[in-house]
Amino acid sequence: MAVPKELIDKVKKEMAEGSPEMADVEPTVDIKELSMASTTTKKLGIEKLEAKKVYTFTFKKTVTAEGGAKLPIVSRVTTDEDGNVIKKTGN
Amino acid sequence: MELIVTSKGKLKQKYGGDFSRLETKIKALQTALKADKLDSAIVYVDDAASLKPFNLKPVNPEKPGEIKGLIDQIHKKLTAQKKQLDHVLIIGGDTIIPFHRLKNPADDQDADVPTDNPYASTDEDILIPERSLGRIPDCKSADASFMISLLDTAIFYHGKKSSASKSCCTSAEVWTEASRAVCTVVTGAGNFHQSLPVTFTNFNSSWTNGKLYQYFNLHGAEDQPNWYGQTASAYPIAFNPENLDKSKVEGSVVFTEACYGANIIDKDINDALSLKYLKSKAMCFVGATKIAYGPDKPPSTEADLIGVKFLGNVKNYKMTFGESLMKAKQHLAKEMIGRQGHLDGDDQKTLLEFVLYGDPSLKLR
Repeated sequence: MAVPKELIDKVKKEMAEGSPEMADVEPTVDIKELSMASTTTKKLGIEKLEAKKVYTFTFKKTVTAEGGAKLPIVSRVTTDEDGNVIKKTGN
Repeated sequence: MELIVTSKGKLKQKYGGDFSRLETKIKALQTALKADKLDSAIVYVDDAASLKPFNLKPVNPEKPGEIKGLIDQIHKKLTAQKKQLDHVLIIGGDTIIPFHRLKNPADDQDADVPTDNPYASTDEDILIPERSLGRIPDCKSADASFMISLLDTAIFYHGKKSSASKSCCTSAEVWTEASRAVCTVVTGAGNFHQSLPVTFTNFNSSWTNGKLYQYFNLHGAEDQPNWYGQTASAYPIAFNPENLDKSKVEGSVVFTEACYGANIIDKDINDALSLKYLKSKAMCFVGATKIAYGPDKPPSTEADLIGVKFLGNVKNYKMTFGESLMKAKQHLAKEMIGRQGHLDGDDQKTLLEFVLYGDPSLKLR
């Protein structure tokens, strides 16, 4: 199942507004169904939750810092199937 | 008990005749631990004599999986004897006791993630550590005096309180909101610095001088010693090893979110701020071995959440540094599973890549 184009455009627009340096970057989009191994939840003493499908939009570019160092910049937006943002992160 | 893990063969190979100085200093650490009411055992992973008390055979010091297996077996034997394994201290850098190299779970340029998590986990579910663990690293140079000085720092602070106080927080300007949410654990509004306008040339040495908690949320690079700020599309050098030449940071607790902030592979003292801080007698340094992640504003996630919890555990609950990082990682895992139902690639990478340099059994007095 493909990610809806409206969602891709919405995420790109929000990314450009929050991080203008990513305005010209086309994201890669990953669709995953994520859950936790029961060994992990048992180790943490928490309930295992049912698997969720998420869309992850990854924006990458390399910038040049002072002194010429090349810094990899990664920004990521994860949404649920309905397009609700679960997490925004970056390095 | 603190289990001190290292390789006799690798130490001798690198340091030659200076091995005896190192061995004497490690034994001096044992004496300091004893005075601090902590038993210890030195395990040379490749030496039959040191493993005899545990009825175990030597392993290949170049195989992290075998070393983990050895630690796991020792832990089980201690438990069977109703003895507690409180801390694991690895002595040496990657060429003495190697980091595990795990497949990068995040989508970025890093091929793998050097990590100590498997040594800190009692089973194969290595995302979640259950042991307090730290590493006293060495540097690229074959001069043993660096590692001896780090052992001296550990010995000193098992007997004495740090004279450092207060805090210094330095953040890329674009992450100010997120950084303040971490810093608030250890400081009020004061001594918070943004880059820009701060750069390494105008970084005032008094900001870090004598400061106990030193927090950095800056960019880092794999092949550079510098940490960089960010304002819009400007990435100035905000802090570098030369800044530490002008500041006394002994007894400090350092937490950095900089990418590669704890990368020590093939590095000498002035190639890595982690090593420079440790040489300058910081008690403890926590950072990431590869690209690290966090939000640009609260709520704290990934590296920010590790920072909040680590610093809070050290300051408010007076946990040892090793316990503080272990509990911070456990909290991150529980929190993110609670919020989103799973640990994504960035969460997993965060859990793996943050390492502690210093004696994990040290704490604030």
